[in-house]
Amino acid sequence: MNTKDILKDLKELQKKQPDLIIRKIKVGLFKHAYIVVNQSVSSGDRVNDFILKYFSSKNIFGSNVIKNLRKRIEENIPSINYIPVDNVEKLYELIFSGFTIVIYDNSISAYETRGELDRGVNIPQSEPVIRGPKDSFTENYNANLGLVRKRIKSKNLVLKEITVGRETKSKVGILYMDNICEEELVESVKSSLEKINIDGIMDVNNFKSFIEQKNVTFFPTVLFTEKPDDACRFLLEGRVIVTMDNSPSVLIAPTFFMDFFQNSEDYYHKPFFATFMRIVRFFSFFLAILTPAFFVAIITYDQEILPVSLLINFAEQRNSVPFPVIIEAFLLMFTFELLYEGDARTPSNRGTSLSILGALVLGDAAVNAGLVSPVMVIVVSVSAISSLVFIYYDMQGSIRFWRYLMMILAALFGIVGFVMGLMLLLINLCSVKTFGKPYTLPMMPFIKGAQSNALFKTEISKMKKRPEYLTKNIIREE
Amino acid sequence: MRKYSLSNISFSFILIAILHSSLLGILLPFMLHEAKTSVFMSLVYSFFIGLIVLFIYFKIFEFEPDKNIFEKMEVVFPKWLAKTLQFIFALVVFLIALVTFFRLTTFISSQFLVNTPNVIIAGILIIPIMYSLMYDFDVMARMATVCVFIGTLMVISNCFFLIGNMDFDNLKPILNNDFVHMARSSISFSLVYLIPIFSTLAIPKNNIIDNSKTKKYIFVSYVISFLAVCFIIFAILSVLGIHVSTLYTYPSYMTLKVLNVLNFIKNVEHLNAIIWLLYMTFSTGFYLLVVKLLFHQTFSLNLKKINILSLCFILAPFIVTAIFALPYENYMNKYSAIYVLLGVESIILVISILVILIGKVKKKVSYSN
Amino acid sequence: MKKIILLVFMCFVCTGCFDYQELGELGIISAMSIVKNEDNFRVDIQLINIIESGDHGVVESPVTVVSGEGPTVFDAVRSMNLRISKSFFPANMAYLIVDKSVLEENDLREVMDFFARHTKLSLNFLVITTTDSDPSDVMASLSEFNINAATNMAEVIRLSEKRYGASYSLTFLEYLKDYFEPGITPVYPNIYMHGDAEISEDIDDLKKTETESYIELKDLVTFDKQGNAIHLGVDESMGYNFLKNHVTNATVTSTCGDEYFTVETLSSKFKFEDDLKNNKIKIIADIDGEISFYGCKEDLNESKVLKDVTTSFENKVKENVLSTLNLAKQSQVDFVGVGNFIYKNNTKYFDFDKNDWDKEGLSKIDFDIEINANLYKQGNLKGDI
Repeated sequence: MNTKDILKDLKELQKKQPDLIIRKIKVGLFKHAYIVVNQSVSSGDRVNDFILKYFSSKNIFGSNVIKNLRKRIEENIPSINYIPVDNVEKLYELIFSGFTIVIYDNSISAYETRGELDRGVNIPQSEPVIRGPKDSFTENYNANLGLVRKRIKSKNLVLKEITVGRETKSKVGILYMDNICEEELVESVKSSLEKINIDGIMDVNNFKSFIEQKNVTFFPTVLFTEKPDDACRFLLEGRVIVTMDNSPSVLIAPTFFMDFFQNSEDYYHKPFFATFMRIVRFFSFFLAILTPAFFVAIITYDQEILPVSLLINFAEQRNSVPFPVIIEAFLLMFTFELLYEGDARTPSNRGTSLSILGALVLGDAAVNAGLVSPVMVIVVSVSAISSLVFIYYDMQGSIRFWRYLMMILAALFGIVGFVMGLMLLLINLCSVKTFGKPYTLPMMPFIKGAQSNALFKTEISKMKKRPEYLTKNIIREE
Repeated sequence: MRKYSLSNISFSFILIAILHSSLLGILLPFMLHEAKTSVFMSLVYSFFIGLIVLFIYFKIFEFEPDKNIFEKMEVVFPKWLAKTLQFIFALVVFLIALVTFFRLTTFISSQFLVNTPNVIIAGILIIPIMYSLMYDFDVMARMATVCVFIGTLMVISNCFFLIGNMDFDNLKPILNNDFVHMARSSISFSLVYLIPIFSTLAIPKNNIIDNSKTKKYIFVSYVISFLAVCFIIFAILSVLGIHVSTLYTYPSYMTLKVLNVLNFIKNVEHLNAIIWLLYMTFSTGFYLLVVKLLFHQTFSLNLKKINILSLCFILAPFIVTAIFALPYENYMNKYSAIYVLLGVESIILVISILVILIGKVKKKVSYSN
Repeated sequence: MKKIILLVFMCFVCTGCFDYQELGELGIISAMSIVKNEDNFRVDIQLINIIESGDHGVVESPVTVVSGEGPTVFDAVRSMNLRISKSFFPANMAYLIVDKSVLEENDLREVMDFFARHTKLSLNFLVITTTDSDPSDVMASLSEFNINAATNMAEVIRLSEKRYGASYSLTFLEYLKDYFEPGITPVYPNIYMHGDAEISEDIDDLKKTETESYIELKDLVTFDKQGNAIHLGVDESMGYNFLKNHVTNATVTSTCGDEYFTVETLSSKFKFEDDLKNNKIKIIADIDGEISFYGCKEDLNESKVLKDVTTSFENKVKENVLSTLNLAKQSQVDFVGVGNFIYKNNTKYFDFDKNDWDKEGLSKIDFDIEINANLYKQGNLKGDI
């Protein structure tokens, strides 16, 4: 490699990027070595302590200087990586990754002196937890790997690394257990990631559209988590984890419908309580979607289902409202969406006035002004509160779509339209496939052996087998 | 269509859903009208006649286990005959789908959406069927699981709450009709009830995992759905009595009007209609999927074009015929119409028997060679 | 392409929702009555007034009565829309009053056809009749304890069937069954208006502690083929309810010498058995009861006294049952259901299609009644205080 041309290019680059430092160090009597480092991504202490110090401490003679530096770093300071550089592309990648480049004669070598640019291991922000570990993934790739490896200290944990993004050159790691996971799954994940041809990927969430199979659905088919204990539990079941540089969550593939009703806390509580909460979540999913539609259908088409006293009560309330039921429902739902979105964007120190405003507007004033009826406020609130049970934002998006579709169908055709909407929802759920497996496993097709951890939860001591639809190695005990 | 695999339980759920969908509007009132209170005896006779039909079904199910019914015909018959018979088979299945859909539409339009024009009702009911036509049989199997779960739950809870209204004296006098009437009702019931399951021959036996036990599952699902029919007729007779139940076209729906749970929940028959809506929409979609399979086999195009083709050539004539036939509702609901249905459905039986016999002969010839 | 989808969607939405009905458009019906005047049916409908909440100071009547006339029941019901803007919503109807004038075969079939065919009706509403009052007066009367007058009356009939034992709640389903099955005639509860009809329509009457006029359950009544009313007194009604096994708790007072004692039945089961070779029907009964009032002089501690008391009770029940059966025979109307029992258990005995059971068959049957009572609860007082 022609180091003189490279140095010239580097000096040109320094004019555009003043945080690039090029130091010329005298080695011996006539020769010079160049140290190139990018100040913003590397740790100044490390550069000083290990590399510059070496050059300043000894009286070095000519030809052995690089070899000695390398020998010293390799033997005495194993925490610093050494990478020989043989092409220009790689040189730039390494400079911007925080490596210190030493150019001497015609050889270029790189030493890792990366700076810590992340926030350290914190509590998970989007998945609050009462019992169990409270650490979460960070933006540091090595730290994420470390959090997984310290939980699974096994030689069967395999890591495959690829680079994604022409300009960002982000490091992506695919983790799986060799003896449990199926080879086809790993291959399909890896091949779909390798096909990505784009300038930059910012976060693991962007992989969704590349990895997801050809399903026409609003339901999420990949899961993201911030918690390492969840990720390791999925690894031990036979799933694949994808982690990325600068991304504090990991992607888990494949994901099934029942995973969205489970929580890591279920494993830390008693099984009766866990089963109860899972059933409550399952019902809240259907409650969130079906309640407004069912109410609209009953009030406008099939009023005979209501008992007399309730009928008279509702009729009295609706007498004062000028809108038809469906318009009232849409109005209230839209106001609720506004409130929800506003709450998500407001910083916490301004949140109180927003909640007071919401309560006043929705609760009291709208009812007294005769714009909406009290029973509709209750119905919409029940639906909205049920949808808040789901932390995964993707699930909330799908709930919203189906809720509005079912309201329209129920408003046009009553109970018949309601049932037709339910059928459409069921067909959509049944038609989704993630990585060749049906999305609604293990409920449909009904697998008896896997029911101990689907809707119902048994004791941890009795869960001696892995799910058989994910892996063939199903025995957990020796 | 891509390769798929089902489990034994999913297959038996498909069977239960198909069996249950042929009850509303035509079979139950016909049985009650013909056999009067000796309907239980005629049910016993039809159980045994049904076993004969089931035997034929088993034979053709086992013949060439890796092929579906259309491919089996191609193996057995010469090419031109195979094509004709495939077309006839698909046409009969199409007609069964039409009759099921027609009954559902007339039920909804007479009891629920009374003022809505029938065209719009047919339009709304066709939407899930259209959507399910885009997919394959394994999606239908998963749908069947949900339909059977919900349907069974509702039937059991209805029967449980109806116990207070049952009067066992209404079942008497047993055996008050002569043998001719009982025979007519038994034969019509067992044939019209069972022949639609021949449409599940579109699923080859080898697509079912662990298919050595499939026979047992099929038999058990036949027995279970038969018991459900017995239970429903028992509930209708003991609650309404024979003279009132023969007044109505939908006696099972009328029985639900009597339900009075805890003196608080009344008039829940509208919610219970979800049972029939689920089962009959599912079966219509299944029958039309069988017709789509024929399209897929005769024209080898990619999946998207098959879907568009099926929309044009299956759904369009389906809707058009359903809409034009609606004003003639009373002709369909006359009890003599069931004999026409019987005649048409027996064509499937005849074709299956031919396939089995000629297939056996061919095998013997090829072994002896 | 997008325009076509939008157009199709708009067509769907804009075709109008044909069955769409707002709650304010419903005329919630609580009761109905049907009378036939010469050629026309007259229908009186009691609608519930939806009083706007927050409308204090306006004292409105809770119900409105609307009437309509027409050559068929359907026309009569539709003609009420000439006066009122609500639609006909009978799903929560409490009862239907059927007048004597409607009881001719064709008219009654037409009435039944209308109600059996209606999609929104359940089959659980009661069918009652009034022989002594005008049905429209009964419709217009307000009652105490419950603003919804019709529900009150329906509940009175149902509860008195269980607690008092001398009344019977005839649901529409039972009515259809009794009409179409051979060998049985329906029996209606009979209500009448006590007091002046005009006062009963006024809500001021409800504000008094003792209302001057109200509607009350009188007795049971059945009609023969000519339309004559046959009233069942208290004893006959009790016998009728015992025979049909409708009794939950009935009070039977019998004598022991000059004094009385009262038994409350806890469970009773009556069975018919046929002995038709000798033209006899055996009625076998098992009754469990509790002595709720004992006014006789003898001491209940002795077993002989208990046996006598039991026998006395059995005789009283037998008397009631016999009087019912005799009334049926005398008036030639089989309202007990003996013919129906014979039809179900021994069809060959009588040809119901060709012969008239009421005139020819019932008079030939003799009854053999056997009652086994068990008064196993005697209270904690053994005698009169």
